[in-house]
Amino acid sequence: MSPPDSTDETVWTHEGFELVCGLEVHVELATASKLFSPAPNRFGDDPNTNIDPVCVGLPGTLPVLNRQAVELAIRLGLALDCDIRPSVFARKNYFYPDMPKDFQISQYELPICADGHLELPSGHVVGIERAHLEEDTGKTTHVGGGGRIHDATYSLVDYNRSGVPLLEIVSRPDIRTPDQARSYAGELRAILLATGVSDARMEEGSMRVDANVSVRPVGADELRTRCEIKNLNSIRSLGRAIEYEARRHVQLYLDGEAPDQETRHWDEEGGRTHTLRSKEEAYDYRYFPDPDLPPLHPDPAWIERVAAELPPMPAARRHRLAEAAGTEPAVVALVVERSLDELALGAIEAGADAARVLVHATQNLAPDAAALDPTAFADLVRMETGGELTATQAKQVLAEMVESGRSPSVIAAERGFEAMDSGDLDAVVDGIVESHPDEWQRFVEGDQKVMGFFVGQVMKATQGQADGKAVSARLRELAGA
Amino acid sequence: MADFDEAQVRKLAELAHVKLSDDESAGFAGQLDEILGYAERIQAHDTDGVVPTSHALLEAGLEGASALRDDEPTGSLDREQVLEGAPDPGDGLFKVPKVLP
Repeated sequence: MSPPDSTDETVWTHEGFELVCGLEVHVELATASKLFSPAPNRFGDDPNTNIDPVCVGLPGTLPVLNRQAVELAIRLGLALDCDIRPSVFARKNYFYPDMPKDFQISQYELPICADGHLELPSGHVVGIERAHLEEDTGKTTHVGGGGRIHDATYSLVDYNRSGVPLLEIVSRPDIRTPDQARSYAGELRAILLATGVSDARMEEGSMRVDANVSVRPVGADELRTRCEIKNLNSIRSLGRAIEYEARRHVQLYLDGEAPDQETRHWDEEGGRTHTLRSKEEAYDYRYFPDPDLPPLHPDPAWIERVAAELPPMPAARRHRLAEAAGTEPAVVALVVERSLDELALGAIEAGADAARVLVHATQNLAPDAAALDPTAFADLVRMETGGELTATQAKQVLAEMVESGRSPSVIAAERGFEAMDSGDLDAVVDGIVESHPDEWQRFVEGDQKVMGFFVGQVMKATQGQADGKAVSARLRELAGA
Repeated sequence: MADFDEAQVRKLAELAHVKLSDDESAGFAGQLDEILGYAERIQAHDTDGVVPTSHALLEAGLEGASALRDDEPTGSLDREQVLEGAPDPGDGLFKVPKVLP
């Protein structure tokens, strides 16, 4: 496979075509019971042990909407800067054994959340068209024919998942590279977890990502025929599938053909997509408003309360830390991802050097360090920038601070990490130089690689107490450089 | 007039998995045509300034929020009992004919 023409991180292009992609993400909401009935919403139980008359579609049953599902939908909508609107439940009619009443209740023309956006760690903004509530279907297992739907001899149905509340989040076609798609899915997942809206486990199906992929000539603003890719079980397969599908479209156009609008299945092992449904099948879901459910008009006071309880979103946290540190949001993305941003902010506000704080938060601290006292962290950074500790020593002291919660000065003193007197250090460096005349000759002649050798020797002789920068400075001074 | 023809009836019947004889298709086409014609007459009226009556519950003052249920799970139906009503129970699951022909 030839590489794409452009490795520009903002737009994927190949043979004069560019990628246009939107994602539809279904998430199961973390409620205790189902969307329209009180059977437990719980993953992993024995088949058909979380069922009630409504979710198996028994005659005469009526749906009653779960308040918590609505609250979680509002919560995610607000987290994605959507408008929360009056919404209407509709019936989507089709025959399939995973949906025993022969229709799925979903919001169609009037979704609860509309017109939001999600800012990726890179700063790229993806529009959110809508997010709507709907019920999940039962789970069908195809038996015989290697488990493939087309060759199966019969199917087995488990209705534990039937009626589990889902939120379908539909992005605008603002995703222009496979990386952005991965980043969008990752960021959305982080928000779902931070807001407690869903446990968002792709491997358990509580977060399912479908990709709408099309291509167009570079720079065009038309939208060409798209294919919907399903069965993306990981963020990695999402990126692979989008790239495969975009190349398939480009090849079709180059051959004078065009893709059909269809749903395609990602085959992880084969690394390709294939047609999922036969084209002859009729698609006419005959949506109409469900007469059993009144329109949903959430009270403005309810929406305000949910908004007030919302934690700050990752994008806002990145902006806040970046501003305090005088850098770009993309630079602090990892610190926010590890939830170390409050700690970093605290240390910077306590007067510590922002660049060193970010280096420690990015390279030397795990998420469990979030409980560290920011003033103690600031003290450590000040000892480092003030020359009392070398970078290596600071890292060691920091590790022990996380473990024991003791102050950096106590730990440094205990370990004998005291700044070497510059006269003492010079004497050590001079001694090392004298005992290695050949290496020294090479260094003087300009072989910079020998620098590492001398620094290493000095570190050994001082048991790591020397400051690497001071050692290099002394070596250059001696060499007259 | 709405002009609902037999071809549309046959398409709807197919989508709804209903078998209709030719006579039935013709009969329903005429009836549906009358019903849609009635709806068209209603739609022709000027409803500017009329409060929408989108749902009977709203008219009764039961706005969405009051028709909500607390998120309290109950137990499950008894699986064996439910499967007794299934044409082909298999190992705790509902066994169904293959999904695609």
